Amino acid sequence: MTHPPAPSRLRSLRRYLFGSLQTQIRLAAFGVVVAGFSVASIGTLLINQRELMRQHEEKAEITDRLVEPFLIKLRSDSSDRTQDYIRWRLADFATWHQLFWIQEPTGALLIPQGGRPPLSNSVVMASMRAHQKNMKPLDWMANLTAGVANRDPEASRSPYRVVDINGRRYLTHLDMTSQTGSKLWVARDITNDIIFLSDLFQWLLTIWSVALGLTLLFISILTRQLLHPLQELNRMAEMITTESLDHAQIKLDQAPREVEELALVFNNLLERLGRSWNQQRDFVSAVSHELRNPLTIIGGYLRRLQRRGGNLSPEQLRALATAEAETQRITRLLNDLLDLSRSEAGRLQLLLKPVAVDEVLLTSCDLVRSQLPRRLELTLPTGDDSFLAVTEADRLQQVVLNLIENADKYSPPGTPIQVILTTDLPDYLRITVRDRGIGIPADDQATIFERFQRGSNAAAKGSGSGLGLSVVKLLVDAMGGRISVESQLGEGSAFHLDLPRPAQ
Amino acid sequence: MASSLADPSSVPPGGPPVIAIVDDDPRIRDLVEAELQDEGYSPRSLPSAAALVQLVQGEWVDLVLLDLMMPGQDGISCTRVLRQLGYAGKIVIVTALNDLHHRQDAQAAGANAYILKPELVADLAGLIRTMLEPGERQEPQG
Repeated sequence: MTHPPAPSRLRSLRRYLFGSLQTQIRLAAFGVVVAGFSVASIGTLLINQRELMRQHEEKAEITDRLVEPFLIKLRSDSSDRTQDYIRWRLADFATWHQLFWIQEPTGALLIPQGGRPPLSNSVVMASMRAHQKNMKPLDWMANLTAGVANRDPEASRSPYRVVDINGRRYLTHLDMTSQTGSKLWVARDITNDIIFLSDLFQWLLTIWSVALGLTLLFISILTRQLLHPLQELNRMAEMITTESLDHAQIKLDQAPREVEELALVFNNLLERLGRSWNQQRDFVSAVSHELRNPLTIIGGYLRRLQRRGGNLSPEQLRALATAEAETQRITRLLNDLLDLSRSEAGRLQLLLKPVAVDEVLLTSCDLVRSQLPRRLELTLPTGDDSFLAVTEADRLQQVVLNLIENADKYSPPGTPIQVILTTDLPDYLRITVRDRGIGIPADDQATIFERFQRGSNAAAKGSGSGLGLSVVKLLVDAMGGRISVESQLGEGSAFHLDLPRPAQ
Repeated sequence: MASSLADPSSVPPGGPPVIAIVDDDPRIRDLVEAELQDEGYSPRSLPSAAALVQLVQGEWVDLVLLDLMMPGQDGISCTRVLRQLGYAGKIVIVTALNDLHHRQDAQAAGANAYILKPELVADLAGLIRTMLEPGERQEPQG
């Protein structure tokens, strides 16, 4: 047995982030652009930096060859004159970029005098200090320069160090140790190189941002064009109702082939759905026809027997009355079921017009009064006017009978049911059906109008499909009215049915 | 065609009102016919719309109880034909189907009322009294 993995929070987050095709395409494009430009930028920076170092190494090697004879000479003759001469030559070799000094085996420093630019003592001191201890962390650009230089395979040289003096930055290293033990130190001014690299980096960043923006814009337009037919399909599908199912077709202009195929599948589906819908509708007609005809005949003859049966005993008459009442109940139940099925199919439509509600109440009460084991009290407002509400007479009767039947079902024998018509509300006529029954628990009052819902205390009390009140609710909704319930456990319930009055 | 119709104003019927019951189900017809007879009306039991059209052309009829769903011509198109012929009596569409569209079609075709079958037999006498009242003549019932 395998179980599908439980949806974790991570999964739902992923679904939220990447669930949309549009987001996926945008993210993919974004990723490609970011990755591509990053590689290109870093590559450019590294190549430039390596080129700078190569030039530097080249110059250092030339210098090494030039300086070495002087170092040997210095060893054999360390007179002041020779030293001055060498200082002068070193200053001569120096350029704006490379400055040299010599460290003799004794530790004495031979620092060039004059020269353009003059090598300041502070650069030398800082450089020597930097080589005695670990390099202190400097900015990343200088570290990058030094780091790549350190990968130089010529291990006889010391590692590069970067020092920062008076706003300029020097890359410094021990360039050469001569046979005599004198050391040639080099400090290369890399301030301009770093400015160049950082300028380059800024340019790359700018180009990179613009390119990213353009790409995203382009991708947005592209995905919109790509997804538009899908959204169009979605929109058209949403407009399809059960009413328009028969002739519903998705038509797309200039859609890609894949989407057109989808639309075709959709249309096939719609066609089949429409067919089965019609079958269902025909089925409802057939059922209502097949059931109402026999019910008419049974009810008609039962009624006829009672009225014209002649010498029937009271007991026989009672039996016939009960049978007739039950036939009427089945008829009403059939009406309820058909209305429910219509409402599910979105086909419950009422012919609404002003109806004299008092007359409907009189008829309804007369219909069921004889069948109830209790008093049914109808209270109408005084006055000669008829009380009009916008509704459908048959359906209003269906609603009122359902409410009375519901009240009867949950009331102890002998307690009365009251049907009261009031005109206190300005825009509505209110019909109240009140019982002294078992009441509805407060928790259940909100769900009592849902299908197959009965009060939790209802099980003990008689049979019931739980359909009646849901039919009441859907019919009242279709009438543009409202229904509410007030109830006290053990005291009884009052259902208020408000029907809109006709516009003046 | 209207000339072939029995003119209701010139041929006032003697005796009880004539009521036609048109239904393809003979059991319904028998039941309604018996009820009508007992109520003292003069019933005409007909199995189809065609038979009704024929009857109306030869005889005065006060009220037609017309089944909606019948093989051949249905109740609504039959109503239309009757009104085109100039029939001025009452027409009640009797049906097993409570459907708004049919209700509206029936009204548009010229029917005076639209009722469900079980309700027809529940209070047939009341219905007929209401329909044959002179004051009710102009006001079609929903």
